[in-house]
Amino acid sequence: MITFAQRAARLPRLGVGLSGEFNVAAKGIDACWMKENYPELIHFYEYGSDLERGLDEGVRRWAMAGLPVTYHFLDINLEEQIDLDSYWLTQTKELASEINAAWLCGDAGRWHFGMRERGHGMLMPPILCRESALETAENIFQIEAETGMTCLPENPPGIIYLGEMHILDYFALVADRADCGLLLDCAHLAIFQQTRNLPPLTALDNYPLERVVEMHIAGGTYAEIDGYPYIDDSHSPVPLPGTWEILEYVIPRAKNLKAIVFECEHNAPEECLEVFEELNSLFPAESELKEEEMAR
Amino acid sequence: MSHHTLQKLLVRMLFDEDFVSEVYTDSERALTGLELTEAERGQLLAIDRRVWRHDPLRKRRTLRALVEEFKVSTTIILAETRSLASLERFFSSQFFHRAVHDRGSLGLAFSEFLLDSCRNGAWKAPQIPDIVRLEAAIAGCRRTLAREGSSAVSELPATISDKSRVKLAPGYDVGSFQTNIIETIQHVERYLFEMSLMPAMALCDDAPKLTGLPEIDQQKKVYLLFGPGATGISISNLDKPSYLVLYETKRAVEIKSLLSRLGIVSASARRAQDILSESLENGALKIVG
Repeated sequence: MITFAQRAARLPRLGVGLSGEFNVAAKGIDACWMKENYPELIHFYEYGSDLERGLDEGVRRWAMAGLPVTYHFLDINLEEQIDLDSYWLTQTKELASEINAAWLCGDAGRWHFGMRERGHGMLMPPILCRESALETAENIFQIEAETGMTCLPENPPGIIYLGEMHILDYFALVADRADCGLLLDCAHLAIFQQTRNLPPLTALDNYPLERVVEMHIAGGTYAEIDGYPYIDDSHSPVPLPGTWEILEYVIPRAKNLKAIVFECEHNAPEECLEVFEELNSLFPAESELKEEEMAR
Repeated sequence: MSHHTLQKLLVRMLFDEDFVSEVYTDSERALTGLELTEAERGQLLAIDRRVWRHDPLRKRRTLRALVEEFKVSTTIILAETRSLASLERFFSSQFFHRAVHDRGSLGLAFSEFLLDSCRNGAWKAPQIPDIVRLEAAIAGCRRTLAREGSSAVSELPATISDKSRVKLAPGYDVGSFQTNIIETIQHVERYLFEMSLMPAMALCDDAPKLTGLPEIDQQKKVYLLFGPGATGISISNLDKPSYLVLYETKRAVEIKSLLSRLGIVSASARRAQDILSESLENGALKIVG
């Protein structure tokens, strides 16, 4: 049995990447255009999709150029074993293989309520309890076994979290049981901490940072409903201070970190350049690391 | 309570403000049968009540997805009621709550809601019930096709005896409707096309109105076959004998018993055999276990 540590050692260091969804180039940032114009800022593309929409022309072009990709699923309830059927497994593997994705990843909770059908889409965090964590772990174990690909569960966004666990303890349990890597979304974590009135770094001391393979960062917006304050996961170009604090704390401690995605594809490219530059200075790409080593 | 039940409860609360009120004011009654522990009940009620309203467009987005499959019937309903609330009532209905709780199809639950509202006299246009039934038939075909397999004609067994059982293939259905149902659909689709040219027209007093729907004659019927086509589920006309034969095959039925039953009803056994053969050959019917 290959352990997570062994598998992690084989995963490529991808550097800083851009997120995108089906046909995003028509209304947001075209990854290929971005790569052509700012080759030093983005090194891979995280493509998010579902079986209904599949691959778009943009990700095919990117993959045809031999550039690195990861596949972010948007249609599996990792918390719900009944949702994980052989059709989803085979089709998802096919899509990811077609673009030579380095790994699979996605929010671990619910992407839809009930069956996978039109009108049922709704991203919800898992119920933060032990039973849910164990079911999620079983699903990840099965995905990795049947696709032969690494699957990284991501802490999802939410304003309503039920369950007695802290979300980081939940994912620590998932990772331990599935012996899997993790995707830590810093913006989602900052939102969670705010909903529980906790400082941004709470519970990171018990979280297995050595299992963090990928991180997400994105802008958020302070909002309120009838006076109730919350953070909207708006993916604006400006990450909130709590999000930066988490990112900067985790990077030097995450020994198996391979990739950081700036989720900003719905903004204008020039609004995002500063953050991309900052991320590259915090987490240089493999090629830049080699150049630095050579120079030394 | 399992985390699955708790998730379903959250979904119901996120869509239905009346239900949220009930949970906060009379949780004993609202949560009956869900077997929440005291801790779970405490966690749920500790959530600030305002949070449930954080996404005011949630219902609209879901309604939009539902209306895509029921666009003709819902257009006639909205033209009559001039009230979005008439459709948004769905989210407070037993049909919505049951679909979420039972992990059922929201689209099919929506069709049940529409038909139930017709029966209860919520809207008057006589065209609505048949249009809903037709749209529900198409929605059902899409789902069985997606769930049970491809539309490709499967190979028939070498021998088919009268003891073989037949059933409509996945993605197929039949129905009888008001004679002018296709004209009604075309009429509404023309109106929707015109409105799509400039949706803001809806704000104008002189905007196009949905008027002049074709009259209906309940005495005359048209028989339709739904089946997989190049771009989704297609509709074609059937003659009455074919409809009667295929109607019997909505559930798996032995050929012998089907023929004897139909012999009594109308079609001659010979004609019924021909219909069965044609339908097996073109893939509308399949032989089942």
